[in-house]
Amino acid sequence: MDATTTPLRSKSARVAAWFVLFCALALVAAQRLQLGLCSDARHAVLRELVRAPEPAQVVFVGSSQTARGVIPEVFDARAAELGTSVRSVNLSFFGTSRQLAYLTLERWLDAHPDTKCAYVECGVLSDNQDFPHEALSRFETPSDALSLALSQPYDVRNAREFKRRKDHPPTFDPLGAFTRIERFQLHAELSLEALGRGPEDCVRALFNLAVQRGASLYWMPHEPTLGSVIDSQLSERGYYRIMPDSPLGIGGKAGVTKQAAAVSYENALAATFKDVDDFGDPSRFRATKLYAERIAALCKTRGVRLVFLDQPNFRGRPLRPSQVAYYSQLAELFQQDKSVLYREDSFQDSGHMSVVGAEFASKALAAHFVGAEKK
Amino acid sequence: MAFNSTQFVIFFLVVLAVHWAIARERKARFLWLTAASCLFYAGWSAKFLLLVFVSSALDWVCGGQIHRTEDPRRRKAWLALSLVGNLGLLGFFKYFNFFAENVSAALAQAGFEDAAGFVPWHIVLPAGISFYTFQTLSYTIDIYRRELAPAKSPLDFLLYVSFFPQLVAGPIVRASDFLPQLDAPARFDDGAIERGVYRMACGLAKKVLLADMIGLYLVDPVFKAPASFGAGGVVLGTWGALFQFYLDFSAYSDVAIGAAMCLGFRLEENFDRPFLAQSISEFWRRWHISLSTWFRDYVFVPLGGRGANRLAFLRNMLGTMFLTGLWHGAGWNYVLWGLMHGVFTYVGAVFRKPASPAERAARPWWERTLRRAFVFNLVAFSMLFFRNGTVAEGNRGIAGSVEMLQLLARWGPASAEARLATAGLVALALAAVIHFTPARWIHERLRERWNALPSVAQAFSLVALAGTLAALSYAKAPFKYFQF
Repeated sequence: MDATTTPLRSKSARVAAWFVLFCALALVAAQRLQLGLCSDARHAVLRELVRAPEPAQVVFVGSSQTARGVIPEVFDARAAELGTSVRSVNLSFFGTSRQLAYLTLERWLDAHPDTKCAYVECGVLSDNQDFPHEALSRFETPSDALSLALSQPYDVRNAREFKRRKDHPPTFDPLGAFTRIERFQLHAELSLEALGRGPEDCVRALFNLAVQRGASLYWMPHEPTLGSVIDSQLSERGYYRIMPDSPLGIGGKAGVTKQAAAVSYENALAATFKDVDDFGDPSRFRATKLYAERIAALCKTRGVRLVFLDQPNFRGRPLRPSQVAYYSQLAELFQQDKSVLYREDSFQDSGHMSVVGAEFASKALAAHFVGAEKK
Repeated sequence: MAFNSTQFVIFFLVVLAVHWAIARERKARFLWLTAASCLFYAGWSAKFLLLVFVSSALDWVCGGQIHRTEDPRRRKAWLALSLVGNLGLLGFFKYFNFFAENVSAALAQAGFEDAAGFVPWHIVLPAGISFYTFQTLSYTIDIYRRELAPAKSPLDFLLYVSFFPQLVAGPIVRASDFLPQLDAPARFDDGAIERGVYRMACGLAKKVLLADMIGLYLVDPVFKAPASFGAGGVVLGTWGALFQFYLDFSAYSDVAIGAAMCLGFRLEENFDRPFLAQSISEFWRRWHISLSTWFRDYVFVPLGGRGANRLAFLRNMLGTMFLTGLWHGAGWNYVLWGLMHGVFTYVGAVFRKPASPAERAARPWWERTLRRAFVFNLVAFSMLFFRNGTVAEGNRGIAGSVEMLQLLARWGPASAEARLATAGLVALALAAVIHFTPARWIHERLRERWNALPSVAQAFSLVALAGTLAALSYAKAPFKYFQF
């Protein structure tokens, strides 16, 4: 090594030190301002809900199906009519996979140990979905990101891993060594991505500022805080609903009409899962099952009653027989009454309930909850 | 782990810092770099690391045995083992599906209808196998030719094969270039790191700002639905495809060369502004240099080179370019592309007297321009086959090429509603301006200004660039040459 220029005294070392410092500052700024959330304010709303000090006895966790399909205020009111005073909170949002549900529930229970019952969505959407960018914005601190690599708590079934598994099916995997290595690698990469997102978030915020002519750092017109979002909804409709109804919903009403034409009411009620029932396949749904079991264990240790909640699609795919068997042996499984729900006005699109459907479903859930309480 | 990812930036910083902290300890340094390379590769598949190890072990043993024995028959036997082993692995993983598809199609044509579409296994192509197989092969062949002494230890050899900057997509490094660098003591060169970082930054910017923009907004739409854009769109699309491949691959080479430079290693240049070429043979001296020289030294020359007559020359040239095409992908489009280049090169070499660099430079400007335009369009025409690739890759294959040829032949018009995105055309124009501008006007001035910046300004620029590139490359488009 050259004796005259040592690495530590070099310009390169100074550049590297400044680079790390700037990245760290950008990360801190992005985290404090929640810039990483600028693409979607709902995550911040959720975070605020989890942190909110008000106690609640019932919590709903799931994907947009539950976010749109359960109205806590309706649930609470119906439970009160049936003689049980209860406060519920819906922590569901778009694209929530099982591992995110676990993370959300764990944090909720940490903050609210007096919770009695948790309804956790299962079914076609929540058993399949996971997107890393959804997960990343849930990490609040760099230590969250680091914990990914160190403890590997999440066996992520995201698009990248899905592709990896498709490209490299686990045909040869002695003692599961390769799966372990690849899993570590995936988590290490995710944590590095989370740690390095500061500059990217700052650039996005600058872009937002430019596009909105200096009005906001965020892509959404409002800041990702609980107050503004919830207050506006409370004043508008009297209750908070995380996914407001929209005529431009996924597929929209046209999807419902099309599905209604394709599948008759009677056939839909009688329908069973017609695709390959691959839920029992050990190489698929591994993470989903792992986290369902973790959720069950978490609820058991915290003394919380766990109910898996099957939210229906409009005349669409029901739970597979093996899914029903699996969730039933793990905890209680509640399936919504499709004979009432399979009406066009109950659905906003073929996967999500409208306010009408959600009001019915929330009341049914309240009846289920009160019934179980009285037992 | 792709170069154009946030993970790589952090990974590289850690590797670089630890590397120079332990650089005085030769073995520790090599162990660290090898471990980092394995971690880097495991980002694609940990399982296929075994192939890297198997390929390395095979050539380590074969190379050593060839060096130790003087018996020509035994030397040949060890060389044959290396060739069969390496080419067997490459053939199985890269060409088995192609072979099986063609056999089943032929059987179906012959009346065995059950054979249609039958492929016993769907083999996955391990990342970088085409590159590291050629590296290990050149090692054994060079020892056989007595042009190279074996590596001093298995660790040295494994580092040569797996060195992460070039492991997945080249440049194809010769052992005779790399192994001597392992013997030299590590020398910290602040200027080299500064140049390396600048080179990496330029490469990443080239990839995200130009190659991906051209690909996303110009090439992909045209190659997906050429009839919508008409013959004019096809011409622009093939120009764009040629620039996209060049920018994408040379960007990878820039990052690889820059990263190696930061770690105290020198990798050979892989591109030399190829669209300045005034003949096809000159084009191949400027395009993917590490591959074209590999084929020249290990295939074309052993076949007999220019040979005793024109027929032998044609045979050797077509044979070499056939293999070059096949190396790029297991599909008939790639083979056609290779053969076209073989014919172009042959015709150019036979009917034109080779010109020295001085003679080429002395040509009047209009002749240079015409020649460059001719060569560029010839290569762009061949891109029409290359970019359509194979159906298995998600492209349109031969059918896509035929449709585009028909459009060109009848100069078909574009549909009324089809519009090429401005972003793609602007990126293409910008890429062309940068490429054809003399290096000293832009590149050298920029580099000088970069070097003159204080460390805090350099760091801030790098952070801003990293943030911008990460925000723009949300989809994280992989480098094109990963598929080869």
